[in-house]
Amino acid sequence: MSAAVELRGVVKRYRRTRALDGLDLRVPRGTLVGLVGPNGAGKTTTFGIISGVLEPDEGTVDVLGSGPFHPRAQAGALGVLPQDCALNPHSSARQLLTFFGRLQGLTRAEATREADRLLDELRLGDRATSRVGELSHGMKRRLAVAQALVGDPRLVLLDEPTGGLDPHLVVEMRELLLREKRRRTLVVSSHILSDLERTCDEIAFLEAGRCVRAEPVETLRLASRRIRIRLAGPAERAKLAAVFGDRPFDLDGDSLSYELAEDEAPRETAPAVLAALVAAGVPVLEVSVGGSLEEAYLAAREAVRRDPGRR
Amino acid sequence: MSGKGLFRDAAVIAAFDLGESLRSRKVLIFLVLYVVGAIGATLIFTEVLQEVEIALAEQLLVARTRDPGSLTQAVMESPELLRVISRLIRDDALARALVRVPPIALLYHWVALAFGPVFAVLTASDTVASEVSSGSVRFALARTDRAGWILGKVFGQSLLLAVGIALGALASWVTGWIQLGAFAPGATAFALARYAGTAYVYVWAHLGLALGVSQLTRSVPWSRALGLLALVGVFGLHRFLERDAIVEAAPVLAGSLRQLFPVAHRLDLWRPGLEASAPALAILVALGAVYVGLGYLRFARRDA
Repeated sequence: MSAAVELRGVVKRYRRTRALDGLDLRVPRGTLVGLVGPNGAGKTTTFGIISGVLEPDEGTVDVLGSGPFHPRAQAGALGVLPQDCALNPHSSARQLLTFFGRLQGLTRAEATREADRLLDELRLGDRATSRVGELSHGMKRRLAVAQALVGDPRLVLLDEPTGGLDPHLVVEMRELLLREKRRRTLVVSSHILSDLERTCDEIAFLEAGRCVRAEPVETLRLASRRIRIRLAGPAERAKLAAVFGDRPFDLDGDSLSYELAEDEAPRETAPAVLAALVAAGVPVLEVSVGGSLEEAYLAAREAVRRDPGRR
Repeated sequence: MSGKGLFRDAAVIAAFDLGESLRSRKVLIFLVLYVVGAIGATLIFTEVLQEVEIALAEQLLVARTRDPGSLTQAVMESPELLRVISRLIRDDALARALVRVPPIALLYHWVALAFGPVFAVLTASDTVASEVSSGSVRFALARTDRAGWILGKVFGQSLLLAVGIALGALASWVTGWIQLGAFAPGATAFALARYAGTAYVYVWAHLGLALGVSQLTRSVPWSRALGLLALVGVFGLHRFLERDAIVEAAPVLAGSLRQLFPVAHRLDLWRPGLEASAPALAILVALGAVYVGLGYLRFARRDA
């Protein structure tokens, strides 16, 4: 699959600080890629480099196969939600989206239609004529996401799209991402790993300005080689011992987990374990294979901590 | 799709910027101040005019008037008015050439030349810095390049300045019409339009200075301070280069350097014929553009 974004050896310095320290990152076209990392890992700087508002000190940048992004040469191709950036407060929501649509290359009529469509999609239709400065934080955030989608861009960068949103809005944003991932390439950063796990195709872990691991979500989850079983009720250890034999398992309340042996394939072993548990009369509610994204992230951080050379 | 181009983007940004400025209270307050300033100055001037008329009436042994402007013709030819105009423009020969210009227009021109640069610097010196500081520039720079964005800001602020200058001229005309007994509406409107044009170009040069400075820093307080500093600097340096010691030591260099400051071309803007002001107008337009361009050299190379 060709790349929508390819960064190689990118270095970005802010005086003495190296915000990016030889970053390599590849975003395949048509995928939703999540950027994960602690504060200061370089996520926001990466977005700035891709969108062209920051100049890299070293390295190469290729956006949509045309080298560094240039807004005139690649008109309308990129939508960006920058982090902690204020929208112009005096315009109405519709005026602002229409303005961005016009800059995206749309005619006035097209831009107005696009603004109204996105306001409806982001549930802001009833606030179209409200001044941006009068909107709540959640509404401003949704409006900022809407502006990133104006003009149907091929590549969209969303830096913390769910930051500071109420839980029900986080769910709505997740659903929006799932709809949008079929239409374009998306790169999203978030601290809510469970959301990224549900929406992203690939995840890149950033640490101190470098990408320490980038894999499909499925690969990251299966890396832990663990089967997790949620029990519907208490289970007798004797029954579990009968199922697992001398292979070790962990039981913590209604959570049971089992580390796969080297020669066991997760997709084949999980159904067999489930069948054995049911046959032994153990009440099973849910079986899942692999670890969470959170575990994979912590494992990647731990690996870097033990071996700083991995950076 | 309507396609993209530098000037199309600049026009879109200028229209939005003008609307955004007019919607913000800050600029509205400045516009109101500008109009109030023009009205206030006109009112004061009509009082002065009445004093001149009273003095003239006593000399001519005719009845005193309560309506300023009733003795227009006599006042126009009076040495008192000539002295007033000479004080405004500080050039006796030129003052004699201006006595036939409606006095309201002359006063308006003086007010605009004196306070317009301050108005421009106060409203525009944080134009770029405020958007870089708040990050809102990043929404636009994903869609247009820096040249298009700056050009749009320049167009927008130039339009806003035109609104301020035009409102001030209109306020002067209305005040003169109400206050003066013998008011020539057509001639005054024509003279006001002509002097509003030259005032606009003079203030534009200072607007360019403010927009240039605004591109140097992302700090709003700093950009405002730098704007005021630059304004004081161009006047101060010009005054310095006018000192006898400097002129005697390096007449050509001092004379050439003075041309880099808008105030050096102010006197030429008073000349009655537009063709006499044309070289100064052209230089002022160029100076404004150069100031913006110098700021852009920095803005184009820094992180937004």
